[in-house]
Amino acid sequence: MRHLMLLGCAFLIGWGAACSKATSPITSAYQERCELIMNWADTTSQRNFLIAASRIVHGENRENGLQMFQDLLDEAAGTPLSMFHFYRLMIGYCTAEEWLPIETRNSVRELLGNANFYRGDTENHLTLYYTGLYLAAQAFADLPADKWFTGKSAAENRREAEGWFEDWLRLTTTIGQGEFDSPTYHAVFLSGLFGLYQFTEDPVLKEKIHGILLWLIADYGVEHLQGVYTGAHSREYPDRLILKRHPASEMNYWGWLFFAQTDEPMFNSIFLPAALSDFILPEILYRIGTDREKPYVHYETKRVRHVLRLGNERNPRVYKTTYMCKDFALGSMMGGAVLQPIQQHTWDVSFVGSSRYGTLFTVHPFVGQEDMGMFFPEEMKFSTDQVINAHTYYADEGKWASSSPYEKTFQHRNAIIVLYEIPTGALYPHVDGFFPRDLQAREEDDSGWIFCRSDQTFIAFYPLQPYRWLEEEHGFRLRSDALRNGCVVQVEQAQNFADLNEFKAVMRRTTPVHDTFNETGLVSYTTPAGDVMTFSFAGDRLLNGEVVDFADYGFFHGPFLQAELGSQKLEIRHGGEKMILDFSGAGKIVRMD
Amino acid sequence: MHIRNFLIALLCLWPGLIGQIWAAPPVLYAVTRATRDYRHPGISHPAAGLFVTHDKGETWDHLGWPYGKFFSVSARRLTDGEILLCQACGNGVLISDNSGASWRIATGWEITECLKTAIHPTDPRIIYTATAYGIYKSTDGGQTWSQRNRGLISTFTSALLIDPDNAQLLFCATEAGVHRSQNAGESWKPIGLLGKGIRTLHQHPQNSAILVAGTENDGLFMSTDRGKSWQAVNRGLHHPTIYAFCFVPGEPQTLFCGTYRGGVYRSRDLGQTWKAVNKGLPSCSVHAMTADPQDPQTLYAGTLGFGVWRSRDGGDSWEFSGLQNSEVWDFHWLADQSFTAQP
Repeated sequence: MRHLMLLGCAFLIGWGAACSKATSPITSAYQERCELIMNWADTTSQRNFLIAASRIVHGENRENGLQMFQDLLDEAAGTPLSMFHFYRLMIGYCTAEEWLPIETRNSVRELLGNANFYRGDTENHLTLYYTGLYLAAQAFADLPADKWFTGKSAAENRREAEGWFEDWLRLTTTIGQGEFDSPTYHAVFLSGLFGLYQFTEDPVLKEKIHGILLWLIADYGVEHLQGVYTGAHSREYPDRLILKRHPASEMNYWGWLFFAQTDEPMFNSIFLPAALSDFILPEILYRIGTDREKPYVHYETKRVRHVLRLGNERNPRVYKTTYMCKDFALGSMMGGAVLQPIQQHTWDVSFVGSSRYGTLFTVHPFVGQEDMGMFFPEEMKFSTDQVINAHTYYADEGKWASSSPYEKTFQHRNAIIVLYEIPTGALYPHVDGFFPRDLQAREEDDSGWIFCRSDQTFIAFYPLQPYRWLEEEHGFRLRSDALRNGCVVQVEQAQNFADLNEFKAVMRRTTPVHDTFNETGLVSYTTPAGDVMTFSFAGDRLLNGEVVDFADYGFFHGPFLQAELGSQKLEIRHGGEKMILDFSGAGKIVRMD
Repeated sequence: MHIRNFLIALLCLWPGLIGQIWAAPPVLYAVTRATRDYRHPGISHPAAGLFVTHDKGETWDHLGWPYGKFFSVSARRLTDGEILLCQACGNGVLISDNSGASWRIATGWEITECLKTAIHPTDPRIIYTATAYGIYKSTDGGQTWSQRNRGLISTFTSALLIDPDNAQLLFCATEAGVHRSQNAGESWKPIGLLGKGIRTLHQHPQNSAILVAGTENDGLFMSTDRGKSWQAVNRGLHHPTIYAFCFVPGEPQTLFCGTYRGGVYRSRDLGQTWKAVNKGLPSCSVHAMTADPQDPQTLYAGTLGFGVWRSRDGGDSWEFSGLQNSEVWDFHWLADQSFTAQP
């Protein structure tokens, strides 16, 4: 009965919201995409609790959904269960509860006593685990402590989950996520949070989760280009880094749901919790996620995930810069340290058009105990061995994801200087650059520039040291073996030039000055716009002679998002519209001004 | 009459009873973090976690949670005969007060990445855990916990000892040396090996003034004055990363240590010289070492990825005991029996 009433309320809220925006094509289109996802879930060959629940409530294939739900429960008994199983189980359960037969509901109840859901050790793990635990504690509030895998009562489990979310919300809205801007894992946060938003019976928590969902969508909204999460990422898998436009990363899928920015509909059960919820995408988020007419620069501060050792600070800051226009984005984080374990992606150009890769970047393939030792409690040497076993790419000299402390960037608008200072004795003393196979031009010029074109994007890449090309399946690897190394990259929209030749002519006049680079590490570059960037690995970043101060980056600083570090308050702007997400006090969190 | 018959019967049975008690093999626990088939962080196939042997490693039975990321266990017999077990794991501290029949996650979201637990020698309500975020203490059997990091230079704590002669006196191993607390964890002071990452810390069972620390990169160090001064004891030790260590009951000069990629080393002269003793052992890292409290010739080596190995000849040779492919992180003898068996 309780659930029926809740569903009724949810329906009315959703229906009311839908009706109130019935004239909005943006809202209608979003809802249509949600419907398409449920249609897909009715027939896909994939199986999980979310798909089963979607079939049950959608009604087209209910019997099959009910059978799938019970089958999955039967299969779960006695197998390793993690936070991924837990959140899908509980969101699925809450979604379909009213239709589930008593035997199935009892199976869930029993599983909560018999299974040992692993909590995990990353931020997305804990978000999913505590989503599952919260919803389970709410749904089975009468279950005594000895019937829970935790050995705690439902009330204790719920308080623990609430405590974790309270802390995570505080951290995220004051100094940012530690597992930030990941094309794979940002999607995971959203998936769990949509379920929690939909099913928590606590209106205060519901408002907070609604607020943080909008925050995370806005965070992604200003840094994606046609669904692709551009620029620097805390973590991503190497194959996904070079195939950025290939629909491998889950955020590409969310890009379709939120912004319809991909060529084709993209279906994935990860966003069923959104499709099944009463969430309405605010139009201002759609607008900031789709408005690329005017180029803009967006700055952000994020944080390193919890540093357990080999560092003096628990959460060092990470400073990000993203230049965005309709054809490409150039994005980076400052580097200079291990900012994330093993899967860090420090900078890239991401471009749209016909390329299936849609990216160009450089990397130093770092392998070291810091990668694991800083962030995990296991023995440093042995866990490095383990990572090599589990992620064979990790120790590969040609890996594309790396948390190298020997890499630093200095980005100003659509230009970037990337420097490397690799110590003698480093396992892999070289720098690699990824140039995709389907670039329409990759020309080495006598001026030292390498000129590239991909549809409407022109790229000028200036290697600071000798290099060679290695032809590979996906592209051409620029490999340079000098320990002191680097490159200067300028990216431009083709529309600003008559043709590639004009771009080349402009760039030939702005050759980087690096006469003393081998001795001093210093490089100076004057952009076509006349800004002078001076940088050395050990020195300051100088822009027109002034030291770049990361304090100016704010928490979010750009035309669409504004927030001060520590403020817990994000301002979303577009045109004359403004939305405030305010976690700083007891007032309403989501406000439209 | 009845009393006399009873006394006669008791006198007749006494030697047998004593013999049976004395001969009962002590209970040894092993904790496996995962198996070598590790593919996903924290998920192990097949079961990982807590195992127990009642027959000197002939058979190992699993207890409690089968999946997770487990690091160590401490155990103590309670007055009702049940065994109190405290497991340190990624999810926090798991406690069972009924010999492993049921378990409770005693910690909340705040406490994670627990590496060790220690139970007060006389008051089982007092439990400590050493975590990657520092020391936590419970005085109510794990119902509530409070952080005890005051004075720690590094909060990454990989080992925790309660002095057997004085439960107010604690030692902990950090990434910045050994720390001591003289007030049951209220505050800490660094006492030695500053700047060194300490992987394992041990106190001599008969002479509590002797402490031994195994380090990340600098081998073994010994103190004979409760940590006031430390001396490197590395001669012959060719693998400087020390994960495990054990004294041998009844053989006060004999020591063993387990190393990263170097297997097992033995010293017959209280650490003055060391010799690798790996006959029969696979080439591997050893993360746990212990000696049978009743039989100094029987030793156990917990390997990272190759399970438990046992020696019946004082370390001269090793044979496979069990837990194939497991990463064995810790051994722990049930306290009451190990104490009674001390010479």
